[in-house]
Amino acid sequence: MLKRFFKVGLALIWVMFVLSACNSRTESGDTVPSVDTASVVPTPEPKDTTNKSTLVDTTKTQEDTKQVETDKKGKTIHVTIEEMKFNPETVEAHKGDEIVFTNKDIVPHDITDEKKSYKSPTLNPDDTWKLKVEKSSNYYCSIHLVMKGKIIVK
Amino acid sequence: MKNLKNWVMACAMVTGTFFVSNSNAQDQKFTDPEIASIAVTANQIDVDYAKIAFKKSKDKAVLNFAKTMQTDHEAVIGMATKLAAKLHVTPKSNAMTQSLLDGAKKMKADLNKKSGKAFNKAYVDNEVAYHEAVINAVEHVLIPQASNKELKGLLVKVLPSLKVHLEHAKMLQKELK
Repeated sequence: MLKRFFKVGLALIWVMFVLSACNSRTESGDTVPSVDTASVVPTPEPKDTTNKSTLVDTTKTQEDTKQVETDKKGKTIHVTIEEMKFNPETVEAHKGDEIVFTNKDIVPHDITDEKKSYKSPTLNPDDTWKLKVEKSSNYYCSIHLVMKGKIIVK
Repeated sequence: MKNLKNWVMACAMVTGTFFVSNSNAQDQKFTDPEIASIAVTANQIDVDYAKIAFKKSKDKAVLNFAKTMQTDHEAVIGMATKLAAKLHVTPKSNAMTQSLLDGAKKMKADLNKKSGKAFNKAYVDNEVAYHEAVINAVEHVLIPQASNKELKGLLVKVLPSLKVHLEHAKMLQKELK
């Protein structure tokens, strides 16, 4: 009888110990398997101002990185040749940007730098030609001398 | 309106081409096959003038201009011919086509008699007058009278190139003075 009482008592103590341990883990929120915290981006607590500031900084860094990538690649600007005009006639660009000229006219055209640093082949209707922007320039169509355009590097 | 008619007649007299046998070109009515014929003929005449320039001129700027006239007007002839085939329209000769051809015959004979600077000047002067007359005819006669949408559209598309040709010819005219 004593032995049985002793066994039940021990079992109860063990169960209580286990329940107590589980309860203390739930309170601390530590219910997920442990992982390497260094590889996880911290999730900010909205009420914690310190974390908020960290979030802003992180976003800014990501935006900066994106900006650098955009600058490296450059923008693509489209110039349409239509009704015997370059449209737009003046283009503002950055060094490294690319200008795509498309001939939407019914007659051939070309793009010739006034200082002869570049010249496209003859563009027949619907042909395109790409120019990598290096510096500001004035250009014209050597087939129709009165057609002119300008590239301004900012 | 009266001034415009007088101006058209003045251009016709200068170029010896347009509306010679017509007292009032704007009052004349043209069908689409007739308009197609006028458009093709007017472009072909300027190609023929360019071919004379290739033989007679040594001026780089004049030759460049003539090359542009040949390329552009041949492109328009190609488009007009294609469109006429698509629409099953056979260009039909008419009084204006005939007056264009008569005027061109006379002008070609005059140009062929000239050489050197005199030729360059005569060729470029004629290009200015011819384009002024053609632009006016396209704007005030052919576009308003074309009934087929695609034919009208082609004439509208051609107009800016004619205006740029005129500017180019005027620029040359100043340089040759």
